[in-house]
Amino acid sequence: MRLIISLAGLFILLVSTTIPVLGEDFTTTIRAAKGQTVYFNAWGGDDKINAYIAWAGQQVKSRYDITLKHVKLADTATAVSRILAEKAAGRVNDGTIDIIWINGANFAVMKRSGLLQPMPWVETLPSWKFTDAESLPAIKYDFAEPTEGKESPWGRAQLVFAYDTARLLTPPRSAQELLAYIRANPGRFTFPNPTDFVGMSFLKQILLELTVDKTPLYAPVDTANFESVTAPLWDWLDNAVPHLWRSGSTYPANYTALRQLLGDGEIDIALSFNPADASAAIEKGELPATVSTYIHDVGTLANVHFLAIPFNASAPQAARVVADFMLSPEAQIRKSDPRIWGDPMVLSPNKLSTADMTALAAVPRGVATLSESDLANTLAEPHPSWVSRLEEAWKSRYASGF
Amino acid sequence: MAGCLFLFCSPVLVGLIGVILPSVGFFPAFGEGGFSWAPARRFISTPGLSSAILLSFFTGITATVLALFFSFVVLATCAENRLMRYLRRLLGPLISVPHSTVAIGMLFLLTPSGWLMRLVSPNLTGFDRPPLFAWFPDPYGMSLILGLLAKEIPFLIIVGMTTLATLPTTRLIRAGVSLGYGRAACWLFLILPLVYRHIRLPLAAVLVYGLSVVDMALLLAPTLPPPLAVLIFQTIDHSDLLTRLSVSFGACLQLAVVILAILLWQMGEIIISHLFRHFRNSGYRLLIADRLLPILAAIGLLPMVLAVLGFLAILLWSIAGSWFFPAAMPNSFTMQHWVSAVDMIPLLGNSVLLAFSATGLALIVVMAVCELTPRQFHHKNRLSGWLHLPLYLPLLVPQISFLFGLQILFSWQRLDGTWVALIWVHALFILPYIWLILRPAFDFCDPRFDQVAATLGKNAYYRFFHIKLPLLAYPLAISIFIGVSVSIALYVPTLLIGAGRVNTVTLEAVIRATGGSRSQAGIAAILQMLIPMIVYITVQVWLYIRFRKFSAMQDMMA
Repeated sequence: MRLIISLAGLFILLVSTTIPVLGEDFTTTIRAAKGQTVYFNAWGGDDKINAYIAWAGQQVKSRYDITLKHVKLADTATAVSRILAEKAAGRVNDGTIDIIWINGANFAVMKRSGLLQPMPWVETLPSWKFTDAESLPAIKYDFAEPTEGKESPWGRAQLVFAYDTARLLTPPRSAQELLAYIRANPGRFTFPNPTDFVGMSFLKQILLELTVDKTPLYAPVDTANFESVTAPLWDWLDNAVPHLWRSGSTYPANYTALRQLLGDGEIDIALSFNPADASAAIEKGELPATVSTYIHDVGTLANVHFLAIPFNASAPQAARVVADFMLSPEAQIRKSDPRIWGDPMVLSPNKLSTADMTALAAVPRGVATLSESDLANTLAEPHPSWVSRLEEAWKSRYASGF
Repeated sequence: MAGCLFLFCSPVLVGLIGVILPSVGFFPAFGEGGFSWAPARRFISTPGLSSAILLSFFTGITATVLALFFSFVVLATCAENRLMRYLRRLLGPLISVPHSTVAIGMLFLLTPSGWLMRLVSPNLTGFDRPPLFAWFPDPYGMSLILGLLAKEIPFLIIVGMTTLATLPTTRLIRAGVSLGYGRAACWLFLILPLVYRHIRLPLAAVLVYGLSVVDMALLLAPTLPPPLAVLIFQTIDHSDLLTRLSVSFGACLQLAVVILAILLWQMGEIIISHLFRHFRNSGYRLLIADRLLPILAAIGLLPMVLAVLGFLAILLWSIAGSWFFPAAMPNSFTMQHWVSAVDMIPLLGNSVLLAFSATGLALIVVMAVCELTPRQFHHKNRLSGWLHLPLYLPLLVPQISFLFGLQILFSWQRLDGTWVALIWVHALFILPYIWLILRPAFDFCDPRFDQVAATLGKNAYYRFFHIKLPLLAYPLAISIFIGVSVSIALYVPTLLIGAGRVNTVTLEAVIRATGGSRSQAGIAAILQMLIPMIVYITVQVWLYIRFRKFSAMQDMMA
């Protein structure tokens, strides 16, 4: 009998993909998740984020008896390559990664290589009802790649620049102005190494600003004339690199290292993918209170980051429960507090309960954070296939030694 | 018995096979079964590869040459006076500090916005902002060399001291001085060649380490491009299969770099020894060098001084509130970083558990082999020396080369991220050191104690535990200390074999130091340093309490 039911369930699944996975409702999932251990692979370079994940771990432990172990990555690609190796080695149900913090190029790779849970699961999460794909379509499109319900939105990101008002009165508000600033103030600007996510994002930002016709950037890179499309970027860099911090002979490893350089006064302008990052750093005494943020006039890159479950997760039910908790109003509102993390939420405020709205209203914006209206100017992420080509091209131009 | 050791060290060979086969396109697990040059071609096209290789050669060989030179200078200056005893007391703990801690401390101290610059700015320098000049880390690899020296000079001094203890140093020098040679000349012509002959193996390990170091290079080396080992390490992160195959080729290339460097070194040895002979027969008295020695020795101790000041900087940053350039001291002090460091307790637990399990395993293996094989004085028997080569393999084969192959195999066999695999791999690195300490100790342990006990009717079990072990208490204690220190410092093995599932304070320290949070990186670095230190102090105190009434044990503990 059960066989027939599950076969029927499978059949329904094949017909429609919006029905809960294998017909099980979420209480069943929660029951199955009890006592499981979830290995949460996430970049571990920022204390605020690590502390937030640790808090989430305590919560899912006390509510669902799930043990959350944060595997701190130096680079998310490490985890993707591990899942790939496990797939190659035929590990189909006891993988070492249960849930992974991901977006953009890494998601595209996982989707293409069949490294994600085969069935869509995101819209079965109870917390999904608080989201609004109408007002925030990016929760269903990761760098224009449809998520197909295989990764759950976790937070929003936008590239913002931070500067010290005590040193710099009018920050440069476009790629051209920035170049002029770099040439006038040698050694006082740099960006993270483009092998890093934020460093690559900076290159994409400059490219988007300088390109007259942006359409090729939103199609697969193979269909474009790479050289001619990217020429303005290399021209900009050729002019900027000799005047960068350390004459462009080295780059900080990531945005937290960049933030430290701003705090030390080695550079004048830093960048981050989190609008509240500077406020949180001021709160912690890592940046002077005179630091403020701004974005370029044409807008800056914005995207959503997600949680995905690999095809071979050893605790897929618990992973879904964790993803659901991370999407819950309580966790999302806490996450948006700059004293905690300051990562903007992916939920729609008007779908929240009154109590949650009150809680959201009580969250401070942060002294250095721009208002929502100031941040309204956004640029969409180019097609994910551009990342690796840009990285290769950058390396061969600026990272090949003599 | 050699077979047993061989078996224990087989992972190195297996790991090497695990990178050599994929590097020529043979990888059944990924359905790649044919010979192909594609992985090799792909790796060779990596931007900056030639610079990376040159950088590896430059930093590795320079650091080893300088470490050898300065450790000999210090030995020649201090060996016969009081200083040596103090030096030994200081260097013992210093060699237990992980490479990554030293690197982090030097970063905190020496970068343009580091503590040293803050101490002298703005009053002396006029800087109200960090200067733009990049001297640390520098684009040429000098910073990495300095960091390596801070670790390798003390190591070679300690190894040299151990050798000196077996040589008639005083007599040789007296003979030389009576012929009118200066002390420096006596050391140079008579003693150092003898010492050198004995330390070739540890020296080779130093050379290999310098050529393939990852953790220290991540923090101190140039980045565009980094040294070869870091380049490989960073490419491992890439996610397509062909790249994984080409990284295997990189791992083989790293091995080739090491082999080539060792050959170069041997050629250097031949040339130097010819020059040396010519020079020695020329009859130079080198009296002037006697005056130079103390100055050179002071320069040789400088990297260690910087390392220790670096530890102070780490300590300061771990309790600093906000601290902006150019203030010489933090604006405020806080314990908040330490309070929030409670989440490092599991990491600390992992580190300790791993270090002690691996040390225990290595100790048991070494003691079993020592106990069950006849006493041997291997300097008389060259062949037995070769028999022990498999034992030193983990130190003579670049870590990144064989561990990457091992990681692939372990992942395939579901062993990666397991404690068993990690403990085994850690024990692999501890074993040679413990062997070097315990084998001579077992050999020189006077068998007559054992015989007396036997005639008194004590069985073998009793004799081993109640006679032999107490007699060997000192070398055993030192073995535990060295074993724990080695294990705590391991970065690449823990990261690759631990599969991210087993995290330690060392992984945390490196990731935080590259992530720009000085206070947190500082705390992880302190914890890293603390474990071997606590073991060291415990060992010293226990030995003192247990054996203070045994006159014959006193010299050992001095």
